[in-house]
Amino acid sequence: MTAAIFIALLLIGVPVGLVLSIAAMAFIQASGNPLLFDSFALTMFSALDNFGLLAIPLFILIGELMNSAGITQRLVRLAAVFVGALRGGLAYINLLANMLVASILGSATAQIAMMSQVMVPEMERAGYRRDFATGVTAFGGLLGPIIPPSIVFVVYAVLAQIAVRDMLLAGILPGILLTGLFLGTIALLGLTHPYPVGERMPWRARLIALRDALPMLLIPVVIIGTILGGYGSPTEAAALGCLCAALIGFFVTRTLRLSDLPQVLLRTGINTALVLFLVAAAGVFSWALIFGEVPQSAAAFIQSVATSPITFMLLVLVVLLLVGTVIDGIPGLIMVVPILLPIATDIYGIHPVHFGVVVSVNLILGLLSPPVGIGLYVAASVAGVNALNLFRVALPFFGVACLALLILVLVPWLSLAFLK
Amino acid sequence: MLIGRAVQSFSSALVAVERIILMGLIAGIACLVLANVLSRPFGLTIAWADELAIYSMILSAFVGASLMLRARTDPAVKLVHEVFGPRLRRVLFTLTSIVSVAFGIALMALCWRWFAPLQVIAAGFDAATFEGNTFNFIYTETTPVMGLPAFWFFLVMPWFAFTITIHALANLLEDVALADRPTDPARIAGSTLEEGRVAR
Repeated sequence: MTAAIFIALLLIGVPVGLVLSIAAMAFIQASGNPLLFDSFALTMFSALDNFGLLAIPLFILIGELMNSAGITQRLVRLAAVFVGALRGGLAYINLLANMLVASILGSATAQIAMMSQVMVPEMERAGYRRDFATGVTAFGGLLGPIIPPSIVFVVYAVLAQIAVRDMLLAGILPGILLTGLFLGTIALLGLTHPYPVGERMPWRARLIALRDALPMLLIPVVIIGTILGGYGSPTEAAALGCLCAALIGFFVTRTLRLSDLPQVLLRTGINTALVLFLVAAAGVFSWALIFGEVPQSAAAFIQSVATSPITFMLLVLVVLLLVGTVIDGIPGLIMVVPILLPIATDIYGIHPVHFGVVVSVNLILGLLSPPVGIGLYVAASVAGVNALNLFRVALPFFGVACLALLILVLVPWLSLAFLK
Repeated sequence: MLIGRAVQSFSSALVAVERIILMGLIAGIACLVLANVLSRPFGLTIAWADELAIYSMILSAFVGASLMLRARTDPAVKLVHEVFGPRLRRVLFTLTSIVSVAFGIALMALCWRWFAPLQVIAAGFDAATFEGNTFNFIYTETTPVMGLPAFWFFLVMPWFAFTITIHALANLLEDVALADRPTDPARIAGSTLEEGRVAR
């Protein structure tokens, strides 16, 4: 009955946060223990009482400050320094620039929106087809939430009650793997498609590009250096990142003005609430699930189907790809983690960080899969191309991302290399 | 129409207040965490700053969620909305608003049970008597570091329940054509899209 209410509310378009909260109410009612209602609002409130979550508004604030500070062009020019006169040169530059931006931004959709505005017109001018340029940019944007900082990984760490630091660092190698595979895809596609050859940059221009972009690189250096060096928590690293972003915006690029700040703060607040309200709803939802003994029933079912950790992970991939067709990113994470994580760790002995990387990357990939992948629609609308056409053109990248996912399942070391 | 406009005006007034609170809370979070990090090299630790930052974040989540509900930008599955035409879409929006109003009222009722104002009056505003009668410790719980009464922060829950009820009601009255929907009722246009938003 509760499941039916849940699906019906979801399908009529009730906000996911409300659906989870209402489902929790229904579970409590069905459990015959109305006293639990007395703790309902407190449980929602307490779900957010977590120092690790503080990194989320701060990571979002970095993105908003940098959005006003015009970093993208400088990072694109920096990426061009490293790419010579190759066939498909600008496509490589696009991916490398996306990797650099990903080390500053923590969200795929924000990154796709930002990069599409810059890269798509530039690639089109150089002679690339617009839908291909948009596809490369959109898939490059997937690196945003994988390479630290990552909002999705912070949410997972809090849901799984593991160190935010471990989860953020776990994204470094998968991010590099994905970038490498995407670069390889362009090289392979270049064998059959006559992509324009990139221009060789004169040395003087390279030096200027390096000089202009160096201050921007201070942000990822501060964030990852603080976390990796053990100088501070991810939250503190994020706060230092905000300070750097603000200083760069005010004094280096001079594109940030004091009068921009109220709007920057408001946008940060809205995007923060978007994630955190879901976390609060997930708190009350998973609390109610325990009383409804849902994880136990799901575990019994899954155990009858999956016999080993690998088959379990593959089953999870299939389920999440299906879930990802209607719901993706953080809402998807919030719905599946409370049910699947205890099964993964307790029954199959999978490391929670490894499981988190696989599940998060899977749901991030859902951002670009039709029919509802929001990243796909953002890229399509910014670039003015048809979303389904875009997906068709970018299909090789989708295939490669699925391959990366499979590698991540089979090689846990890629996720656990930086674990203390 | 009059009731539609009245609810809409009230909702707009709440939006104006919520926007200012939200900006202040986010600025507060950044300043508090930064103050703590930057003072550390000087051997100073402002223990209460982190705790206050966490509470500011919690408050911002609920204040922002209320604005999103008014703007209808909170994450939702809009698959069915895209399949059907404008008339059925309007029905779906109306149903969503009805569910949202019902949730707001239910949450207000739960907060009423939690804060138990009538029992507080019955206990003569004496916390010990109140706790003895109800086993509810809301009024004596303090925050771990600052030692402030926690219920001041918990008040965001009934506030949230109240504001989402008003905003959902404004949405509902617009859905049933009792008021015209403004283009950006929560005045949050220009917000960057996040993963949270599931569909267009």
